[in-house]
Amino acid sequence: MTTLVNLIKRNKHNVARRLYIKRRDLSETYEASWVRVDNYGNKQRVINWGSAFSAIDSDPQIIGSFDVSGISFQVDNSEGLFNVETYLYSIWYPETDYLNRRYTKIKLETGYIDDDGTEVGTTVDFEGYIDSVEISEDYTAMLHCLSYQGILQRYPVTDLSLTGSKTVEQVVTAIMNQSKITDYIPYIAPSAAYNFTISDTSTLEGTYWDILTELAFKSNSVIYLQGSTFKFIERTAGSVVWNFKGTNSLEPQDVYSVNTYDDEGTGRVRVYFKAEGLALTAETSDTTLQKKYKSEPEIVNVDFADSGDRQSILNALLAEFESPKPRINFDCKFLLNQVAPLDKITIEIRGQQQPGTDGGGFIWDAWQWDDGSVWGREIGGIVVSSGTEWKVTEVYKNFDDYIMTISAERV
Amino acid sequence: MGTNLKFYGTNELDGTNTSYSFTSASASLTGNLWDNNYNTKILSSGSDDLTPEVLIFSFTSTITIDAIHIGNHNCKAGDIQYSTDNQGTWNDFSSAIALSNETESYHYYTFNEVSGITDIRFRMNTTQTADDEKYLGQFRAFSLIYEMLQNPATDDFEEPENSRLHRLGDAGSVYVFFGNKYRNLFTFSDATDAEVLQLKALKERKAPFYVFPGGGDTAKTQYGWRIADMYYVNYINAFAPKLKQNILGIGSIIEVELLEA
Repeated sequence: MTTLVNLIKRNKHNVARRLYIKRRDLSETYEASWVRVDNYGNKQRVINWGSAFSAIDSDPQIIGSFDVSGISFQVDNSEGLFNVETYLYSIWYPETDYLNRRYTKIKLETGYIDDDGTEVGTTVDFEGYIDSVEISEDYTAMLHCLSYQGILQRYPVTDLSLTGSKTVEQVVTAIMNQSKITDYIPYIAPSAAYNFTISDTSTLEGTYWDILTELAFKSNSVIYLQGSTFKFIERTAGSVVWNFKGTNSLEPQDVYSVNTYDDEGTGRVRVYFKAEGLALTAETSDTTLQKKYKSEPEIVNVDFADSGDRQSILNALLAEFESPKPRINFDCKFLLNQVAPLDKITIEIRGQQQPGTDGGGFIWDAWQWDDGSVWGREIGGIVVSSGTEWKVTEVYKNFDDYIMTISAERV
Repeated sequence: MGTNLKFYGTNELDGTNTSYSFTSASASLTGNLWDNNYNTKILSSGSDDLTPEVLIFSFTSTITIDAIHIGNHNCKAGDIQYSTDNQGTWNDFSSAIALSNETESYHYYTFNEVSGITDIRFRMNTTQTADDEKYLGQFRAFSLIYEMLQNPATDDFEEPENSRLHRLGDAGSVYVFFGNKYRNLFTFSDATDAEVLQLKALKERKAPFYVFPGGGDTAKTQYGWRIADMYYVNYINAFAPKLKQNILGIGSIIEVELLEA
């Protein structure tokens, strides 16, 4: 059996995609097994497989953003399989057995097929729930689905009736370790980078997701939501999981095109933080950074934190965001789950090698030794060495074209 | 029955009217027998040339058929019979189906129409390589819709595919292949009035159907015309019979475009 890495690296891809649902019975209990719908009744039902993304710190201007998108599948509805549960031929029929289509769980599996016809690397690339179904007269339907981020956006934090002081991790646990959440997302204990204390949790307002994202930002942590896996963890890049090869690389390539390259990373630099309404600030001591990037302070509300933690929160944010980090966005082969946000990658994109008489930019082995050539140099606007490491901030997957778009910032 | 291009109706094996009983093959894979994909198979477990693998298909509502097509199998010796009394007695078709010393993987059998069938049994006794596990990719039991009086004058065969071509920085290519299906454009250049009416009925049919271009002629070995080449299709172009040479009464020219469902 060929390995997944080898199947991805070679340039003929035979792919596998499957779509499953889990319906709810009248007591809101999900059925035990996933029901496959992409080939329901032994006929292909999916017309367009859609696309989805998962992002941590991906916004080029806003710091501390987290987002996991939904997805829309276009399906064949010529037999009314995706109609309302009262329709005789609907997959949700009869309504005495199943509740409606909304909140039906849905998952997408993808994989590669090797030379023997064996599936390799099959993974759940999206899991969420159906939010709405749009029926069209052309005998198709659109299944509009949300990630489980949508579940966390349904409930106000006030329904937890929190009181007193609690740490960040305790609040995250209170949100994530309850049955109405664990029905969708198994609980994993949080590990905040800076586990500060919130003085009075009764003052917290907003949805579960609002609170989680705010606490993640202020504790210098991140939210990692991949399918049904949720982690509240430090913003620390893992080990290098993939070495991308782009233009002019001497190795087999897997980068299709570079869409954007911010070789400075100006948009996300913050050298000056100020607590809202308080006389607390954190400002870079690096005079060069001050000259380059000093601007209006980033205002951060730290009222809910213990007074002893507030300055530390600002200091941690400054340490994270004061230095510019180049950012890159590129299209590449479909890597299944080999690359995810927070993973480390390397990228090699070489310029065009040209002979130069000034001796600058010498490239080893660019030319035949002793053939009279001059030393070579490399030209091009985007030259990225494979020696630098990047942290993935966003992975966008197009399941219909089987192509990925990755955003990353220099580590 | 001749060996011209044929059209067959829906496979009576399905997921609603049929229940399945296998000696050892997994009951969870019954869909592989009627999914129009030869590559998905059922496979026996622990079978050998002394241990037959018996496949029984039972029908909630009785069926009527006059042909059977089996695809991608390794049966060397065996038989196929039917019952009309819920397995009380097993009967041979008018042309008994007996596999003996078989070396081919695809077979097609025709017989006098039989109605009231409650069960069909396929006994796979030995395999073409001795003592192998027994496998079967497709089992089709159906009735003839129509056999053309003449084969098409021309055809335009292809397997359109769903694929993507991505280009790399060095102009190399990555070819992503999702799948392909059968398509053909048959031109019947001398269709009789009866044939035109039959094609009209096919066009108005509410469900896909099978096209068997080779008609069961084992002498036809060209791709698309072999025993293996049976496709579940829709008639997708406009029904448009034309006067031959613009003269009434000497037949019609009609193009029939079929695309695999």
